[in-house]
Amino acid sequence: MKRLLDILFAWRELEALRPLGVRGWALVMAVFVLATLSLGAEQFATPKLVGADGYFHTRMATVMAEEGLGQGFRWTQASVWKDRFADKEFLFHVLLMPFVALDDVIAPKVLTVLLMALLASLLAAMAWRHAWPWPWLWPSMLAGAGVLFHLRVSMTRPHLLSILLVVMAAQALLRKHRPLLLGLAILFPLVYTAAHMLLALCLVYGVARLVMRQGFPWREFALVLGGTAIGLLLHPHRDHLIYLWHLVNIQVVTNAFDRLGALAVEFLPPDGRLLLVDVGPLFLGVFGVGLAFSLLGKKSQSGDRFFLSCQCSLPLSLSEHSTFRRVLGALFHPVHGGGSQGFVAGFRCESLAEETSGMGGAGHHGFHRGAFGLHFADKPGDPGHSLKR
Amino acid sequence: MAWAPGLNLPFFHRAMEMGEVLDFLALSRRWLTWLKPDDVEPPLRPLTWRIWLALGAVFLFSLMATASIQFSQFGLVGADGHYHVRLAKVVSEQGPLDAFEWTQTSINRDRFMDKEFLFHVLLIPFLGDDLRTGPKILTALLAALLMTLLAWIAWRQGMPLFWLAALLLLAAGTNFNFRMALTRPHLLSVLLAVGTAYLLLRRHGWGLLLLATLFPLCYTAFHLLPLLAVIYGVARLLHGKRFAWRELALVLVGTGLGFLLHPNRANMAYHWYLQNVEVIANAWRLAPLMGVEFLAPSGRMLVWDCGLLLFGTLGAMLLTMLSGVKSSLRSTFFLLLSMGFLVMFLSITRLVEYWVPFTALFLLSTAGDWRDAGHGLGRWLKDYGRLASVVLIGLGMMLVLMSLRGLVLTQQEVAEEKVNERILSYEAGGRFLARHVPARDQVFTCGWDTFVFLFYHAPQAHYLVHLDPTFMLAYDVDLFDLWIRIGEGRQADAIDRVRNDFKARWIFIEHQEGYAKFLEQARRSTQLLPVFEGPQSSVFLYSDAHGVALIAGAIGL
Repeated sequence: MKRLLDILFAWRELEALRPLGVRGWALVMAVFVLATLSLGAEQFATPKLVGADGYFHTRMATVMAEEGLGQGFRWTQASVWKDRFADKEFLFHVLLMPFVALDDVIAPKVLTVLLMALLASLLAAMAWRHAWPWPWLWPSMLAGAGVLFHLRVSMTRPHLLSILLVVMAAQALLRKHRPLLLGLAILFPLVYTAAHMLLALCLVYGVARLVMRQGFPWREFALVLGGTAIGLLLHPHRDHLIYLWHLVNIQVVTNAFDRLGALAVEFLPPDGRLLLVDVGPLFLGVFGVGLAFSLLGKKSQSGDRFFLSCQCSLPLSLSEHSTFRRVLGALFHPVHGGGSQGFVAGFRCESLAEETSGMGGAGHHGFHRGAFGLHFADKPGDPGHSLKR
Repeated sequence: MAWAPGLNLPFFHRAMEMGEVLDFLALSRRWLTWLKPDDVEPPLRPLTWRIWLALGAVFLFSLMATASIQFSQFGLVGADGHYHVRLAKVVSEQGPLDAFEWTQTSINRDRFMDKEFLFHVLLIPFLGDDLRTGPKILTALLAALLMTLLAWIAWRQGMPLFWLAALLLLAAGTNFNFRMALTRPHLLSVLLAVGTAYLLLRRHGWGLLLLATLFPLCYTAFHLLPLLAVIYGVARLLHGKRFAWRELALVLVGTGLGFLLHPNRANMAYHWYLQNVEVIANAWRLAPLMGVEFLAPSGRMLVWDCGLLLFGTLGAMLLTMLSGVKSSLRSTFFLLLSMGFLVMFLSITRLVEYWVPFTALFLLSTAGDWRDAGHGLGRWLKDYGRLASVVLIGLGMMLVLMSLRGLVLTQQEVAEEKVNERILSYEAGGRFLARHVPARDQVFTCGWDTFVFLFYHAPQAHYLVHLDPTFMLAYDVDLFDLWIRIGEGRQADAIDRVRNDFKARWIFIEHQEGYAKFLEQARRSTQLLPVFEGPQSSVFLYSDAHGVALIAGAIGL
């Protein structure tokens, strides 16, 4: 136990970072205010909740506030949830409670904006503390991250919280801030169903350290593993959580490949033109950074850990654009620049308004495609396509 | 012409004579002497007999692989090959064409340009009697030649593991390998582009001039080689060297020469515009009408089909960042090419054929940079011991497995074409037309991609449009709209309009969902007689006096 506490509170291993100071705080606050205003403008382009899932989460929070924790989910009678329910996003619903107590729509929308503004501020703080050049640039790149990214971060869903936790965990790993890492690892399974996410992040960090000849971070890995286990045990529906984890992370993803038509559009892979038009500067920026380093012959210092993280998440985000996109998006921005995407940003508010207005009868399945003019991959060979290839 | 004393303008307006060619070449050589390179080439690795032997082995291995893909079925692979083979046959019989009578409602009827003239000339000796086996052999040879050319460049440029080139191409996925099995002129253009990249690195003036002259004769995108020269110049600038003005000038002159030597030079600029601007714009605008090759690749294709190269590139850049190795001019040039073609590939799937070879060259070149900087395999093994061995063995196994996967899956895909009902039915319809349609009789088709099969089997008939609907759009917009309306069954008097506006006596209807209404119209019409019914296509004949005579006489019903 003493050894564990020694490891946990080994503050002396913290990497020295530049203190925030007055200028740093000014930057962070400025980013927060600007992000709140711009994301607020997007969010309130429609009076309704953005996307479909938000309706479930806000109602769930209301039900929890009124009835407390239930052991089943009576609203779906032909689902495993009826008897084997686990609130995959328990802490997000808890966080939503005070907001839904005020209002069903406006308050959750405000929370959504605040969470993303917090992410932008966190990126600004990281950029400042790590003394990255042009610290204002990296958080502001969120503004040019493409329509799809902005659409998703405008949805009142728990992924907002999970992005924040993942970015904070990445920072804690870089700093070897073990108490923070343990805390985040405990929180994560309570917030989000992909409980393995921080472990994967830790593994990627370990590989980056190995490549840099700094040894695998066993202590950090053990802490994250222990924290995740504690989080699972603390979860009010821990009995069914593992089963739900399997369903959501294995079955649903497998079905996304096998039965494309039956699942939500968010499981479709993006097509090449979406990568170019929507996230082109970020996608190609990765290559640009590689080119710049190889031309200069400079050895990478810390950014490569992020770089490696990005690369590891890239295959998954290409295969299924929503699940890992948030990690990708969050990790791309602080490190890799690509340029402005103002022309895309110009469509954002309009798209959000269109999306919401077109959502009435479309439901969860298929509402992305038509509304945004975004390209997802069609299956070659569909009727109507020519034989020429 | 001030810059070419002794040569006069009419020189360009008639067939070149050998004396004039020699004069021109002598003049060009004086240019080359005047425009000397501003630095010395890095020495090339010598070609010993052992290396020739190794390259021969790479070629044999590649040929076995490409032939095994090609002969997974006995027919020509894909659609376009049918057109190219038949056109080569026509060129062998009639010489270069000025007009293309087979498409009566296309810009090609009067303003034809054989975009791939030299490819068709190259095909002629391979045609054989069956118009099938020889072209398939040529296709396999050219694909194998590309793999060997990459290995050869890798060796000459001092890259390690040059023999890996063939495996890297096989591991590039089904999409790439399937396209390399198509009997199309891109085989020649990819070879020329890769060859030009090598000659740019060598700053080989004569070679560049020659390839740049050949390129417009082989392929319609003749801006490609000047672009390569510009990218090479940019790579040089990034390395603190002077822009490659000399090479760019040579490529431009060569391209101009090729342009002038082309038998259809009068229509070339117009066709370049159509093919490279209009067709691509339409690929975005009229997506459902265009070929599958114009669709963008899906994310899953990028990961699971050609992921090895995509993530290999990212991995190579990451390791370069970590080791602090400075990229060579060669690697920068190949990386810029790879990135440029990746952007194009992400827009249009067919451009995978350019992205893959340059990416493979970038990977091999980067490995050379690591080795030259003392970060080669030996260093990794020394620094990381067992871990490096495990990773290297894993990567090697992955490359072999991905190559095998690419080979086997492409074979399967090619073999499946043999049982593609749509193709079989079009071919059956084509053979029917070959037996019964009189020479120069007009056949109406709803789709544009049916042409290649009908032209291949029944070249005596006339059709509407080929290769791309844009050629009809450029010919007559109203007629194009009418054609679309008729095909989709939105034209009430369709049967009359086909006869009057398209002058057709025969109607070939593809059994596709989009044409179902028109098929019903044709079946209900009293003016039409159904004369052929396949699982995926039907042929109707107008039952007027001419039709009756035809039926009585030619068909014997």
